[in-house]
Amino acid sequence: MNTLSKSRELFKERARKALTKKSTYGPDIDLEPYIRKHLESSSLETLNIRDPKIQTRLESVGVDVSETGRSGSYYQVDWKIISYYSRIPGVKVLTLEDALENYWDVIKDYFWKAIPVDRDKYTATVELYGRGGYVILVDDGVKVENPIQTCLLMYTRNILQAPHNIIVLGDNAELHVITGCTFLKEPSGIHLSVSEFYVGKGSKLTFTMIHGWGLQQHIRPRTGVIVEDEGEFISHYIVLSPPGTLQTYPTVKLRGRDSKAYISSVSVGLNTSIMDIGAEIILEGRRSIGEIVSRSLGRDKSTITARSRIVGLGRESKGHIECMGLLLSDSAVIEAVPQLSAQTDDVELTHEASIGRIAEDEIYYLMSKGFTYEEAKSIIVRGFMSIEVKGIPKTLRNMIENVINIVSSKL
Amino acid sequence: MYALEVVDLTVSVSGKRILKNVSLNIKCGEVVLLLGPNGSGKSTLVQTIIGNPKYRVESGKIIFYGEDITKLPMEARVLKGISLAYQIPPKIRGVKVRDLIVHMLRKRGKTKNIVSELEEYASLLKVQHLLDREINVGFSGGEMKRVELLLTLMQKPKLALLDEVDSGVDVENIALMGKVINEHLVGSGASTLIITHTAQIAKYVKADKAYVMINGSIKCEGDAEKIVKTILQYGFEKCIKCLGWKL
Ligand SMILES: Nc1ncnc2c1ncn2[C@@H]1O[C@H](COP(=O)(O)OP(=O)(O)OP(=O)(O)O)[C@@H](O)[C@H]1O
Ligand SMILES: [Mg+2]
Repeated sequence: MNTLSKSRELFKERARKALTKKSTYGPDIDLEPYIRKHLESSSLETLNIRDPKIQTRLESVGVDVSETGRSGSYYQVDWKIISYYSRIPGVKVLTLEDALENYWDVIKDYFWKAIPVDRDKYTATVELYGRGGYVILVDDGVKVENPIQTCLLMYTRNILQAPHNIIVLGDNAELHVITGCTFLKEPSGIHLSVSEFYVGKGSKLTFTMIHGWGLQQHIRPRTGVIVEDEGEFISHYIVLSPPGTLQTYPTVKLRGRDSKAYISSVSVGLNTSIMDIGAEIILEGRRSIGEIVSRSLGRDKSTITARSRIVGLGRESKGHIECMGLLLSDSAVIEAVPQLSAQTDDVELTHEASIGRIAEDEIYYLMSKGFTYEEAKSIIVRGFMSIEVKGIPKTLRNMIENVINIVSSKL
Repeated sequence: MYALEVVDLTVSVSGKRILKNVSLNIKCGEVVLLLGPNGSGKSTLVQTIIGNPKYRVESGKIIFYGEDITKLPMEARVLKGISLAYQIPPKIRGVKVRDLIVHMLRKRGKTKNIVSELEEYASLLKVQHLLDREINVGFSGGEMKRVELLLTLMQKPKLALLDEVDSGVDVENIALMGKVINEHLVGSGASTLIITHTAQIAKYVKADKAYVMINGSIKCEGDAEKIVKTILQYGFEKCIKCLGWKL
């Protein structure tokens, strides 16, 4: 047995033991029926990715279907890989299988290193039954201007989609990734994903993720990020339309000195959806800085739990949490759980949290500038949702603004 | 011709009667001062004129250029040409001053020269550095007032209601705002109602007439200069006694 199959067997062994291990947070999902269906059906329904209807759906989650403004892309539908490429020398866009097969020497240091394979039944399922996932490798010193886009799309009814993604930036590299995830036909099935990101010394990775789901879907992404000296990780997550249930809790370890992380999320709760969206930053390195910003918008009978945790370990490290909720209905529930933990005496950790409904005075103020009640409300909602994410390219910022405009006008 | 006629207006807020039989008028192009101590009902009056639904008209009328607007919704009054600069505007997260102004003008069908006009007025009022900030978030008192005045100027109103433009503003900035009000508001033919309890702005803007409101009623009406002088000298309390006003 070569080292790949040996290690893989060890991971699978651990995964099997964790198959019944529930997640700490979020409603528990019975994966059995999905796994059974996954094992039974070998063929996929056929689909034409160039179908205008499908292209419109892709655009709704920020995908540049023309690809002109992109440095590369990766498309996966259900568990089938449709296409992947990189236009930039020094940047590889691969599938997980491809990367394991041909780049094991590189990958072995990152595969299940930022997240334990036996974290819970969802990570275990990805290891045992998952297929696909993108692997992006960026060489030292390569700075990529235009983003790479990755699309994980769900098509077949009650499908199990479980990709394992890995992004590795060498030293002094820069990469922007935009990920759009949505269903193409039926909003049903389970999306589990594992994403392990590694940001080398002096490198910068920005990750913009836009999700548009439907109520029969259950989403459990698992993300782990490690950042080295002077590295920077910026992530912006937008849930435009919610699934039935979603639970995620990305963990960023700022291992290096002077490293930075900024994690923001905007989530819109509709119908009876239940979302538990968290983030954790571990300030390990000296002078590391972490910030978590979240905006939760609750309509109908939706429930959103916004968790955030910053742990200060490194000397002179700093962290800040800003957590805001806006209720648009009497039956929606928003819960904010900010948590700060300082484990040395010279860290500086702060947080601000607020939940409320739209202040009448703000509406009347805008009406006094000539807007109708509805217009005023939508201006306030849009403002609430528009977090200014610094450090991402202008094209992405405009794209985010567009999707937020469309969504807020419908609320 | 009157730009504004407030006729025998009685107004309540959350069930509490605040204004009692208030009558006041402004001729076209006139500058009128509304003076009065804290809590006398000045803001209530302008909020009622602009149509803030929180303020309920129990009786009386508001007439704008001959048209009874007492029952018109707020945004309709604004589109007819009434503008209110708030005493204390709320902050609105995520909404930039520039974007709000552009949106506000587009809504009125204006598309040309928005940017150049905005730059011009913003530089007159020294608020260029605020255009890309979230509205009123972290603004100083004086900055808030200047941005409110900017929004009013950009609306090119027929009737401008300026609620305490001068309170909490330093001397230089009161002079600056006074100059802008003279040249660009009064100078453009707008009728203007200026609320003030310190009368500071009256040093820079020449008013045609003044009203004094006390405890929800108009207690005095007359020559602006005389009234301002008396109030500055004696204060509202003494002024009431000396003139034999009844509270
Ligand atoms: N929403 C409200 N609920 C209850 N009372 C109110 C409300 N709004 C105003 N009032 C009361 O009405 C009275 C008049 O208030 P108003 O703000 O009109 O005074 P003002 O003359 O503008 O005072 P200032 O000079 O301090 O700005 C005050 O006693 C105030 O407390
Ligand atoms: Mg007032």
